[in-house]
Amino acid sequence: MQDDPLGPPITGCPVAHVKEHWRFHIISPGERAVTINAPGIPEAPWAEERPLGSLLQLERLSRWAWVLGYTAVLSTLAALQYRLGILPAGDLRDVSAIEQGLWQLLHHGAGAVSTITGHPLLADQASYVLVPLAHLYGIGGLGALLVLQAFALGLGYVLILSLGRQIGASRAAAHFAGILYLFHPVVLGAALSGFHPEALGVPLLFGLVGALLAERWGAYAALLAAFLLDSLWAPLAACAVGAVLLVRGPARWGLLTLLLGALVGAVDLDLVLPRLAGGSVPWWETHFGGLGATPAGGVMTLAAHPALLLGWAVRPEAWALLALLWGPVAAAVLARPPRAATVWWVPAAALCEAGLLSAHATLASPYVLATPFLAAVSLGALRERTPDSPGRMRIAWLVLLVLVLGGAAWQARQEGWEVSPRRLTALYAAIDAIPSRAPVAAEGLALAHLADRDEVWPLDSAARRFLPEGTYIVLGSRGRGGLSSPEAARLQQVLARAAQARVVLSRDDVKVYRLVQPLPPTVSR
Amino acid sequence: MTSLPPETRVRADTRALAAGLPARSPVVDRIRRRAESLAVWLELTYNLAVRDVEIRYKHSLLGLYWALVNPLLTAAIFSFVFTVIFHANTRPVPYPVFLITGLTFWNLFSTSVTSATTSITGSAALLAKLYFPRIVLPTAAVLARLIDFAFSLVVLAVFLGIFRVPVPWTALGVIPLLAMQVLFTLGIGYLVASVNVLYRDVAQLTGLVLTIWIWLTPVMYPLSTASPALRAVLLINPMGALLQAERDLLFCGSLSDPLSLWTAGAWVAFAFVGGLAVFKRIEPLFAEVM
Repeated sequence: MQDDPLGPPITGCPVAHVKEHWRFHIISPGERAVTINAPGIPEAPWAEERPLGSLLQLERLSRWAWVLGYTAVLSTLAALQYRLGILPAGDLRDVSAIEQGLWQLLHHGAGAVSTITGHPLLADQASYVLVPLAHLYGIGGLGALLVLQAFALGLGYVLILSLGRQIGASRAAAHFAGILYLFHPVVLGAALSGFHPEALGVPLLFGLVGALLAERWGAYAALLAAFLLDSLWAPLAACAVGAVLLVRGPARWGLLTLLLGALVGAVDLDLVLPRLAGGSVPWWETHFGGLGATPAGGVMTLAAHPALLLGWAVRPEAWALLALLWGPVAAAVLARPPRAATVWWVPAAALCEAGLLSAHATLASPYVLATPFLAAVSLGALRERTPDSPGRMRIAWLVLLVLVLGGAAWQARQEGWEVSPRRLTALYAAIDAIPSRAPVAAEGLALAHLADRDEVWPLDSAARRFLPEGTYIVLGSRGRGGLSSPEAARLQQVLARAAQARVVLSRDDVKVYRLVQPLPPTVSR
Repeated sequence: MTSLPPETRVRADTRALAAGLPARSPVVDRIRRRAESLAVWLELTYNLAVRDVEIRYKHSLLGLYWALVNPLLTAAIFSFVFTVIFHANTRPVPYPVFLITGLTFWNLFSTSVTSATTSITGSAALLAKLYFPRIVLPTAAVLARLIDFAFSLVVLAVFLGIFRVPVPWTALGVIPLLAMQVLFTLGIGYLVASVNVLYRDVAQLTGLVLTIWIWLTPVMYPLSTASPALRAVLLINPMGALLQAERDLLFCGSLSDPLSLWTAGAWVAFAFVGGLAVFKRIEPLFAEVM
């Protein structure tokens, strides 16, 4: 071999190409490879040019692999939860409500009333982003929404790395902040508790912060406008960002953001929602009805009794929630102590306060919008620090691990749904027994899987209304076979002896009735 | 985007004028060079794939017909076992057609991954002597199997004809699904090809994993016979979801489970980008290790 400058013959080598003017040959088996480096002969194109530019750059590929891996894992888990019914009853009802709302929006327009909630989907929380999403739902069903939600949340990782570059944080610090964000209990909770349109606002908020730091005001204005269409929590977040800008400058943009946020919130709450929901504002009543009948009344109540702002402080679960929310920031601070405070805790705190004031304080919606700000706080704590001792870093990772496990345990505590495989088989048989467009009254898993039709009612509201002939009623579709409410139990009693209902299927405590005559309300309104 | 300094542009324009060519902007020039370079990549990949097929069937009596014999024999054996012994029910699709559809698509995946695993280590002599983009090797190994797949499709078409199975127009939807499957296969191929350079156990392990994987994929049994809980778990597998969707579009005219197809899409994207990332990370070590 040493005697032969060309080396040994290559056997089994693929003949691909022979280009005389390049500096290489790929040759037939048995022949020899020849490298030509004669002057004046151009090199092979890939020797000096990357044909796909920086698309195949390792760092970029790794970044997107994180995002796509996160999307794949979380969307698969969310799909499994939906299929197996491993969701709290409230979340299953929310999924049913949003699915039927999208169905109505797609087939009957923005004013169509959801039979599950009693008002149009857009009246729920002015999520205008649901209008294009209804078309996506029409094409791809719930799966498209779950994958989109997981991807939107996962995008935060790439955007944190980008923010890290902007504020001068090291790559390792930005990566650590990104991991803190991806495994934040609220982010995981949002991806694994049905579909939340607020999740789509998260990358917009990251972009907003990035545009603000880079002082790209055109992009800032566009992202702000898009973000305000996300949900009713968005104007609140925008107002908080505006307040930060008013203090830190440029005050002009701060004032504009504040005014725009307040204007959109006021228009939604005072004009759009009452018009869509027939005078009422369901979002306000659900979350802040206890503070006053109207948003203005609520503000007056808080002004008169400011102690109400800290009313949550006596509830232990509120403190647990706060620990989960702010814990990852603490992990970042532990890793590398902050040199200077960062202002992004202000909008995060405002959103947390609003969430804790709500009658449904454990809902993920406002908190998930706080996560971009929390990530910015973490980045602020980590930036421009030289790597500290490995011991400190180990403690930080340990804190992160405890928080992730704590978040998982907290999430698991809320899962009240237990479906044995045998019972699941009966439930799916019941779902399959119902024609695709027939009116249905059901709850739990069956309600979620039968929501894509014009008329579908939860059992408790079905008991209060006149049910038309041909309605299918599914009983026993909750996890342990129990019924959600006294109304549903009453409906079951009536159906057991009613002449106008025929049993279509009965298996393992799951029963499907079909009304052969209309059924009047079984419970007074 | 950074533009060239003015003096460079002047030099480029002067050279172009001297050569009698109209001056081109640097952006256009770069795009042109990249397009040419990409065309060379693709040409090399194509030639390597064709050569791979030629080498595989060279000096064999049946040649490319082996691509037909394999699925036919497997289908015959499993048809006997599952219909006569286990009484598998795949109505309205006859079991042999059901099985050969599954095997056709599964074999594309499994044989491609197997070929890709040794595509780098098997080309050690070539790598030592020549510079070319290493990613071409596993890509060519996977694409070479598409030629076998095309032959298997002929067998499938014959079976559809023999058993008079009507094929709805939705069968055209199999094309994008096949593209997804190829991307997934490429991603897994890049992963195993590169890791195999570091640890040769991967070649052995890949065979074992594929043997287990085929049973976790509804290749030989219909998902309709599984309980809903088991079905939900089996459809986590992206190959299972893709295969189910391919069969649905070929025989039923609609997708029975779009939810799992979306999650499979997410896995396909992750496998492709993640596989590429692993390959690019290990690539600099190829020369050192081999």
